[in-house]
Amino acid sequence: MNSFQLQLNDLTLNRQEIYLNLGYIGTVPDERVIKILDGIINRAYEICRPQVGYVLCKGELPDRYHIQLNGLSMKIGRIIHGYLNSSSQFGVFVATAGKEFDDYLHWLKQSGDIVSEFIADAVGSEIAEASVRYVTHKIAEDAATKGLLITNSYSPGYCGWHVREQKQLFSLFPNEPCGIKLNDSCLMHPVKSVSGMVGLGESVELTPYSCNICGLQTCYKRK
Amino acid sequence: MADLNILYDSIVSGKLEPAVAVTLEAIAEGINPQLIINDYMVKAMEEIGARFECGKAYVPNLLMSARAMKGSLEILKPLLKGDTSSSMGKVVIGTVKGDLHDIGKNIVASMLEGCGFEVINLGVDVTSEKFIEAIIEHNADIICMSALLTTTMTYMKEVVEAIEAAGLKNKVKIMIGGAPVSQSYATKIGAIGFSDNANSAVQKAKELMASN
Repeated sequence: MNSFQLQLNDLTLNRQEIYLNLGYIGTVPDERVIKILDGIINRAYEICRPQVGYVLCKGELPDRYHIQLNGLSMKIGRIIHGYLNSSSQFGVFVATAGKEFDDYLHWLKQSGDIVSEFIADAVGSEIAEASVRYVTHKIAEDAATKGLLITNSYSPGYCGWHVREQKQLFSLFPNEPCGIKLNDSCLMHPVKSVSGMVGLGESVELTPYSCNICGLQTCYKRK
Repeated sequence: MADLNILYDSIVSGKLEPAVAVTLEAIAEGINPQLIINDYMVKAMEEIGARFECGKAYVPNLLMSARAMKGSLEILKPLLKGDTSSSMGKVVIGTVKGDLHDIGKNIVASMLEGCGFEVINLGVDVTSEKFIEAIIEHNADIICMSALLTTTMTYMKEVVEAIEAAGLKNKVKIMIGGAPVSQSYATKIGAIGFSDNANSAVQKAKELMASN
């Protein structure tokens, strides 16, 4: 596994995404919320130690629903299958905001400050997403050395890829990659973690991501 | 003289310190605590809730208002001892077994507390046994279950069945919430209430208490 221990300075946080996570659509928070948000972001820069890792696998797409990586079969569903089927290799990744940020969230919860807890949760989600952008960029650099391009990233739990398949995906990594554990329901801990996959190929491309391809109408990230 | 309109404004705008200051002033002047709550504080929460529903306020605003309301309520509660209206009702709340998502559930818990409910927050990954124990121990009026995933929401049905098996179905009102659930799912599994945001959760809990 190629893994990277990061500082928050290595990532680019998108404030607009944090605003969206907080429920501000087409508008921005008021001064008081911005002040709390700035304080939390500053604290995150002090404590947060994100980690990312990936493996490149040869793979096949034997039917319209499955992918086989290193002899391991995963049901990724028709939608993702369609976006990956021109790929010749696959980059499977994990990314996490890290235990330190998780501890910070826990501490805020214990303090009873629900406003800060809510805002920090939104910041944590964006740190995890920024970590994904970082790791997919690393995969793209790796792919470029082979003359390959990458697709968008796809994750268990979205676009018809069931979250229980996450166990299979994690078996492609060493135990607890980047310190991430799976529970019995296949949820990750630290909670601000993301796993997923990109396809690599000569003719694949990144496309503007759209929630329209995913049938998860009730998704909390839906825009 | 205490200006209770400032208390109202402070709760609507989510300002804890002035809300507490006016509440203390009002108590010192001997103003009836129930009047303070009913005529100013509850109305202020209704106002911020209405603003939220029409998109003029956001979750952080709701939470700040709930914090201000709770701060004032904490001062008034000791003066309401023995008064049956001192609590809106007891709520046991938790994210169901297998699910680790808790921010949405915590927001609902804070709003319920801010609006006068006594809340027992069981945290995440809560088994049906823990829900049942808490219902009995705290003599709860309402149980609120949360789940963020389609894979974990199915456990809500198990909890409902456990409540039935324990003979508590007629005693405790069952509410559910979370991204993948709906009113039809609530009805299907035997839950009475459903809400898709913290404000409507409070409204639903109030309705359920009123129907007792």
